[in-house]
Amino acid sequence: MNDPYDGSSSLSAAEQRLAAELTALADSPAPGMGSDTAWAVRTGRSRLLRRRLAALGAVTAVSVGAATLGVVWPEGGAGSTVAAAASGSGSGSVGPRVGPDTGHDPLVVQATFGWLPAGFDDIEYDKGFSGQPEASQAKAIGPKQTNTTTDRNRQLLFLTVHAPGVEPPLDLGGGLRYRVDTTPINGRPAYWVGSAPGNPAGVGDDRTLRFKLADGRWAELHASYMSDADNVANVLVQAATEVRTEPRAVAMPFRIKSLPAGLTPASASLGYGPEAAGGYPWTASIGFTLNGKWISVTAHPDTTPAPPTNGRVTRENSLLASVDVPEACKSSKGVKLCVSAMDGEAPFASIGGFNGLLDRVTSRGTDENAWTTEVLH
Amino acid sequence: MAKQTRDADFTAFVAARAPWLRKVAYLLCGDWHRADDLVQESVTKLYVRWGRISKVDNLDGYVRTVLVNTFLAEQRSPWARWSARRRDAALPERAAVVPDPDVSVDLRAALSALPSRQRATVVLRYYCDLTVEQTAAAMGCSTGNVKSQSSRGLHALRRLLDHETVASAAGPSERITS
Repeated sequence: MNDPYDGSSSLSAAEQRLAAELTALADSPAPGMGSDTAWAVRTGRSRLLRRRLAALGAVTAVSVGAATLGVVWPEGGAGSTVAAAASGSGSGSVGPRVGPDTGHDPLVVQATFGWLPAGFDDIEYDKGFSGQPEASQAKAIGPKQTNTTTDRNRQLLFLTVHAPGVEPPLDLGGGLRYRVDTTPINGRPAYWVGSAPGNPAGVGDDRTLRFKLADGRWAELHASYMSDADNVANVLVQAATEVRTEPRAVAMPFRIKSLPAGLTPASASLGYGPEAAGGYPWTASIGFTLNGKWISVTAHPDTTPAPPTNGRVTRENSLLASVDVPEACKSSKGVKLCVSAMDGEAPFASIGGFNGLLDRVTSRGTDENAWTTEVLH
Repeated sequence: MAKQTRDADFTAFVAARAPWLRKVAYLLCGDWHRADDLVQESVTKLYVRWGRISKVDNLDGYVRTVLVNTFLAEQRSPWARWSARRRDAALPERAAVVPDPDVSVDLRAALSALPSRQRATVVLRYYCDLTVEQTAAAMGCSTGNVKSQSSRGLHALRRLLDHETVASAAGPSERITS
């Protein structure tokens, strides 16, 4: 029997039909083309120049950095992915500063990393993504993936905690996976979400480890673009063992006083490190809704972002940046603060428009020690 | 002079390939305007590397790989998610640019419901007619991953489209079922 997904076999009749339908869809009538080759040439030249300038600067940086790393690199060597790299705050977490839930911070995550492998220096916290207002996630971004000829992607670790009483499904959408029990984590049940009975490996370079927390909830660590060459199984087990599972409010670089009535926080995020923050050292945002319309407050250092690496798309190098998003901005204490909305300013007239909200936003500066978890008042 | 030649070669290549790239981008993202953004970004990246790659054997394959990875990278970017949410909220009428209600909209909606990597796999395998190995190379993953993503993508499409009545000489029961 032919494997229908084997490249060497011919397409089945149904697959041929899908191919035909995809062609019909791609050939369907479309608006005039919006891409601009001349713009691509101009932007491409600019990026080439930036890249060359960055390369010149990197020569010095590498010389200094190599000497420093030689002293502080954890046991296991520069290439090890299991070397301890925990360098977190007083709370014991790795990455940006977090604290107790104050009830005034829209970015509260249910778990934070207590340990990460060497090279996982960029952290992103999200709340209210994928249309789920209460969903939160911690994401760590590591070195470029290994064991591939393309090396475009960064190694990723995602940490989530399921709601109380929720037994996470094994059908992840489109394909049944298998529970492959493993050694308990901190004395509690744990299992891999395997691609076959008895096989803990996930699909491709993905791995998922689920482990029960002391309060009975299930937590989940998911690795993408990591393989056995990255010691992915041991990395996930160690990271799971040291996960911090109390709710933590992520300190933000701004406060918003006297939040207008009707403005409801709907999402929040903090990217920490240039890979997580579009080339900036960090970037933070809070999304609100007012009568069903989105409006967002964003902040990042008022500097030029670093050039992107490995094709990662940032706000500045993405063509999404060319979309005319109406916004109002100000700079304060080295932080650029913006209020923007795709629908424009008109739906927010009742709160004084963009400036009505921006005037309520106070910068806490670029010193992370001054950031606050008392964000909304 | 060298720069002028370089730019002329680049411009000629993009002029010839942009419509095709735009179609691939549209299948990936389901929105012609965003497809333009993806094409623009991809050809800009292509320009940056043009000096090194303009003589490669399979330039089409190269730029297609850039396009797919640009699409996938944007799915992971918080800014892209932020922007997409607002675009979805602000521009729902964009579905109207595809006028065929029988086939195109159904398939477009079903495609958009797939996770991004599944969608990319389906598009590369069945629209771009790539082998499993070629698809894996384009996406920077294993062949096993491609097979699995293909399988899951096809099953999900079948599930999403099964209840539809689609005008078809072959009949709806033959859609993507095997």
